[in-house]
This record gives sequence, C-alpha cells and structure tokens, in this order.
Amino acid sequence: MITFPVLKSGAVAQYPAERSVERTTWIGRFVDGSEQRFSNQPAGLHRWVVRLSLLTEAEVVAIREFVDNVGGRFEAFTFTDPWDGTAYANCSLDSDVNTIEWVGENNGRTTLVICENRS
Amino acid sequence: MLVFPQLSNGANIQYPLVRMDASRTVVNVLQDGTRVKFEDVTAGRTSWVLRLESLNEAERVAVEQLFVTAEGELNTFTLLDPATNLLSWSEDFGKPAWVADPLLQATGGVADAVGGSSAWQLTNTGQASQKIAQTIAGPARFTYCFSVYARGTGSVSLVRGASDRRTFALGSAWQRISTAGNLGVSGDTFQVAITLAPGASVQVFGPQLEAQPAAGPYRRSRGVSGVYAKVRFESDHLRTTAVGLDRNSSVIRLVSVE
Repeated sequence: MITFPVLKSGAVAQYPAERSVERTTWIGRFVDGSEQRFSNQPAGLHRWVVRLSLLTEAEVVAIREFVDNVGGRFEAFTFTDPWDGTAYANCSLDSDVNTIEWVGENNGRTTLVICENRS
Repeated sequence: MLVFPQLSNGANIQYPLVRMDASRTVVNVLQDGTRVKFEDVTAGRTSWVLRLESLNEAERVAVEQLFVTAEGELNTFTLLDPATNLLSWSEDFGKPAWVADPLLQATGGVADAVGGSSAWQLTNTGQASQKIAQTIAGPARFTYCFSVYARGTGSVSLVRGASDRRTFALGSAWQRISTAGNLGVSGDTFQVAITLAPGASVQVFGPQLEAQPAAGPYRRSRGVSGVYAKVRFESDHLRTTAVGLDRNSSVIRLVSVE
C-alpha cells in the first residue's frame, strides 16, 4: 500500500495547513421559486493543502518518489489527517503536476493538495 | 553533442531552482461524484526554470550559442539535471546499470550511513584490483564530483574516466569520500567506478555524481538518472538583461521531451 511520506520530524504537514470538507447538494428550482434539495453523497469529502518548506534533499526525494509512485492523480493512497489522526484510505493527489523549488541547499519547498475520493 | 553549458565556476545551477514533474491522468467524473481514472503512462514531462544571475560575458554567450544552435525550441540538447543524482540506481548495485568485474562480490541490505539498510558490502575475492562501474552519457569535458559513503578494512579508490583516481584509507566509521574536478578530456560518455584492492572488503552507500566541483547533499536515485538527453527550450525567445558590466541575468525554461 502506498503511504503518504512523513517528514524527518515525523510530521505530515507544516503550518500553514488547510483542511476543508465538501458536500455535494443537488438543488432543483421550480418555476414558482421553490426548491427541492437532496444530498448527492452520504458523507462530506475532505481536502487538505499541505505546504512544505525547508525540506532536506532526503525529504524532497521521498516526496518525488511518492508522486511518481501514485502517478499524479491516478493512484489512491491512505492519508492520515494531521488534525485528528483519522486515516482516510481512499485519497489521491489533486494535480498531475508537482513543482519543487530549491531555495538553497537542503532547502526545498512544495505544495501538495490531497483530496478524499468517493468510495 | 549539444549540452546545456556549465558556469565558469564549474556549477550548472544557481538557486532558486524549480523543477516540475507532470504526469497525465484522464479523469471521468460520474454524476454521483465517483471518478474513473486512466493513467497515460507515456505522457509524463519534466521541466525546469533556471534563474541565472550575474553571468559573465562568456557564460551569457555560451547559453545564447546553445539557443542559436538548437534553433530555439526546435531541437533538443542534453541537460545534466542539477536536482538529481546523475547516477541511476544509487542504492542497488545489482541493477544492470552497474557493471562489476567478475571477482567482485556485492551484497545488499547492509546498515547504511543514514539509519537505513541500503548500503552494500563489496568484497574483492580476486588477486587483482576489481571495480564496479557505471557509464554516464554526459560530456566528459565538464566538471564533476563523484562521491560515496564508505567504511571498512583496506582502501578504496574512486575513479572518474581514464585519468582521475583517488585512493582513500577507510576505517570503521562512515566517511563521505569524493573526487572532483575537470577531467580535461573530450567525449560524450565517461565512466565512474569504485575500485577495490585485492582482499579489500568495504561497505559503500549512496554513490552520487554531480556536475559541480563539490559534493552536495545525497539524493537517492532509481531507474532514471539525472542525464536528460532530449531537452529543449520552452520558448523561441531568449531574453537576457545586462544589469552591469559583465553581469547578465536570464530566466530559462526547459522541458524534457523524452
């Protein structure tokens, strides 16, 4: 099973980190202005923005190998929510492009966006 | 062989450096939110943004000459990726990229210098020196640094090309040994090797080759080395700004089309 890499410190994310929950509501609007709504999915889907900086070369290599292993958005992996420790088994990256910037030696930074998939 | 030039100090990078790895996934979103995905394995691309500052006139001309010779974004050239180990399979001497002499035994799974178990035990069981080598499809005239972590009994030599050999006496503690400089030869390929004297038995970890005068932080590599043979400019425009006497700056965007 592919797992999301942890930093040398053992952490998954750095500040500032974002977490959001998304629901999909179907809304039917009628001619008289009234609406009918129903939920299109049983539970909210999570999304995390993991911004990483001051990465060592080993951490950069681990992230690059992870992105390569999952093939960008293609492969699902387990992501442990750094807020509450819940392991979400069906997550994937939100982009096929991974950009890494080296500000200096042993000083890389990148941003990964992870979204929970509907099972 | 067209190659992206090295700077006059022997480096081929200035910070900040940006590298982008792109893959392509076809995603079909169904009405209930379920996603059906298809991986387009041949569509991966790597690109770089090189911000070069304080280039002297010779360095500016070298970049411009490459741009002119490559006819902008028309033709490809070789790039030695400054963000990657130029050796492939840096933690697996059993791969075909590494060619060992017949009496050199290589065994993996040994405790390494960074707390893992990716080092290898190399033992020369022969009566003559034995080596394990990798050939690099890069210009031999560049400045390179070949480094490796090593420990053990006896000595080990690091060899670059036909002319450069440095021998190191080893002890029980890990040390990072390296040999660097310009080989002063021409050619489109050259070899780096770890050579053991008869009877020597050493543990090695993290061989790394970089196109620069000194060893940088170790970067693990797998099947793809940092030598990209088909790279082109991303634009038909090359803009250089002279910010002072013999000081030029430029932002260069490159993409690998392999």
